[in-house]
Amino acid sequence: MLNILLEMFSYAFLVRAVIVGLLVSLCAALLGVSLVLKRYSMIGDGLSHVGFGALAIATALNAAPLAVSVPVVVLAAFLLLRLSENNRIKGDAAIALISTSALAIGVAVISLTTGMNTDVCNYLFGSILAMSKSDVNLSVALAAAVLLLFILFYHKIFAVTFDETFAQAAGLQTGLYNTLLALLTAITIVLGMRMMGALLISSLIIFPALTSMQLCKKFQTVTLCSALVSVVCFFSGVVCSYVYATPTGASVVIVNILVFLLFWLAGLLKERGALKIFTALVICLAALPLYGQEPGKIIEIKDKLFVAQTNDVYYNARDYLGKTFKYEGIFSVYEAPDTGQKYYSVIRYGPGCCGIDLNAGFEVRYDGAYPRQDDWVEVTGVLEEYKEADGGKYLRLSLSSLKVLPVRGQEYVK
Amino acid sequence: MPLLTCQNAAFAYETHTVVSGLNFSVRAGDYLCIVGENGSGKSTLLKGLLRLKTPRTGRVLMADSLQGGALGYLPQQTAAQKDFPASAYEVVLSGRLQSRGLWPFYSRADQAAAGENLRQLGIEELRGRCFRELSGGQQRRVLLARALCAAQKLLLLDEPAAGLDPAAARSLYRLIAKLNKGGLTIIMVSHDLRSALQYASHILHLQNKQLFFGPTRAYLRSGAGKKFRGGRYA
Repeated sequence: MLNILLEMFSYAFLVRAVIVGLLVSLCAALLGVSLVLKRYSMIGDGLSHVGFGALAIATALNAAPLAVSVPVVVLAAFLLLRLSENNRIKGDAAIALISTSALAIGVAVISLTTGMNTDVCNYLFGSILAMSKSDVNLSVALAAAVLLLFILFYHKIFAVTFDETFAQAAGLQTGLYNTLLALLTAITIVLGMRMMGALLISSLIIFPALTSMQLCKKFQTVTLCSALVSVVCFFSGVVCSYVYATPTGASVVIVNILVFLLFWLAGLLKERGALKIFTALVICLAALPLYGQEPGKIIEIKDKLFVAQTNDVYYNARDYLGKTFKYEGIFSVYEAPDTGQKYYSVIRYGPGCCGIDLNAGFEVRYDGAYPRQDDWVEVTGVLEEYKEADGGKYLRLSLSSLKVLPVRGQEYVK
Repeated sequence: MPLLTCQNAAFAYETHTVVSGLNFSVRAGDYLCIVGENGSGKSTLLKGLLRLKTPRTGRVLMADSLQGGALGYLPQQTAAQKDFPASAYEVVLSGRLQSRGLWPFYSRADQAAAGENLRQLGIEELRGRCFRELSGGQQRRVLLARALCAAQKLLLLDEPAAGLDPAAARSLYRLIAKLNKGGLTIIMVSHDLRSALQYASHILHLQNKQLFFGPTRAYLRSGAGKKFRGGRYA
């Protein structure tokens, strides 16, 4: 178990993803308690779809994704809140209207610009995309702000959630607190949706709250418990997704479902006074059989997370220049039709929504003899940057070793 | 000097006037019961007295001693509260919100006040219990304790006994009467005319306008009172 964790955290991009993810799940869980009790769960779902549309447009405009989607989703949050306050039934329909519109616009924009490909899949279902460092910094700052505001306004949020009329009579600006709640929710959703996916992010808000309500009797314990449940579920979800190579968002949700069922069962048994036996059983089962390998000194790109890791290198190339990489893949040659220049690379076939959309790997340069096209090779090399005649800068590995292996590995990776 | 005076006040939802011609005043120590049929404007008036609604015409005057929140309020129960995970103590403590201002946390004094109000209503043993698991009567007492946390002078109650069985309702009315004897001014909206007549010192009878306002004794002899009691509510 420890080995797996050590191995996971040897990937810089995974560490960043987990930091942001943990903060986001904490925020989502805290806000979720109020949202679920106020019957606002659907707003979270609507907002995530708006977030998808905004992300698509941000990508099309080549703008920073968070800088575009945060204001758009915050605006949508205000709008949705207004709508649902005015008239319940119409508000519901309005949420559906806005979320499907945003989804449609997002898909159309993506297909017009980059084409329907892995990007769409990633936006909808999430992935541990390589986040740039500035994204991470912004996420951490925003998540900290959400946490701080929640703690400062905890008692007021409780009052507004429990009894809006009473809070209003006590002189509280309930509209202001509802707006605050919507604002914090909007920010949390935007921060979490790239990892969890637009279709799955609202589960981070709903599940922990509902789970802890199965057992806890006090608002304070419900809040604390859902924060804990959320963080634990997220972390186990990410570990599972790493070990079993499943999508991150879906894995986190599945862990949430399992924990919800556990709590529900525990709630049932508690009424019959059999909680202690149940708890003991759960603790025994929790020691899941996991396996792992020791991390090496050279940065090794393994089958698991092949695409995410190579993406990370491209996103944060500056951090990786001069580092030594080692991986296996398919040797392939590409001859530019106009110049006749040959380009060599070692790749794997990447995922796609409907087939293969991208090949993951690096261009390589080797002083020795190149093997044949399509050979399965193991390469070790240093990452370098070079300038093409057209002025563009590209990354490649300058190889120190290139071995043709007799046994082919996993050609298709995620 | 009355605590609260309505001068020819009228309240409306958008353009639709719900209740008008209100002229009455409440003195410290009074127990005013607002009666009338459904839709006669009782709850609207209560919202007006809580300053959640501004009068369309006329004025609602408050004594200086009521400024800055000496009002306690027991609203009608909402559906969401029926399965709300909160302890009785947390609910009662939230009544002290008004005294907090911008400071985000409750003080020792707030916690002591919440404990004291639980004791006063005889529900100390419910302190750590979950609100949704309490009986209807117990829930109402918890909400009353919360209202007391906010009230130093005046308590406004909206149908406090709605949905309670007769025994629980009787015991709640006795409790409210006891609070009134202790010096708290009560304004209550009620359907339950019998209990209203038994405990209230003054009656305000509404039917989209003010049919009667005065002491309970006078109400019993008045035309409005006779008609109302002889009708479907007696």
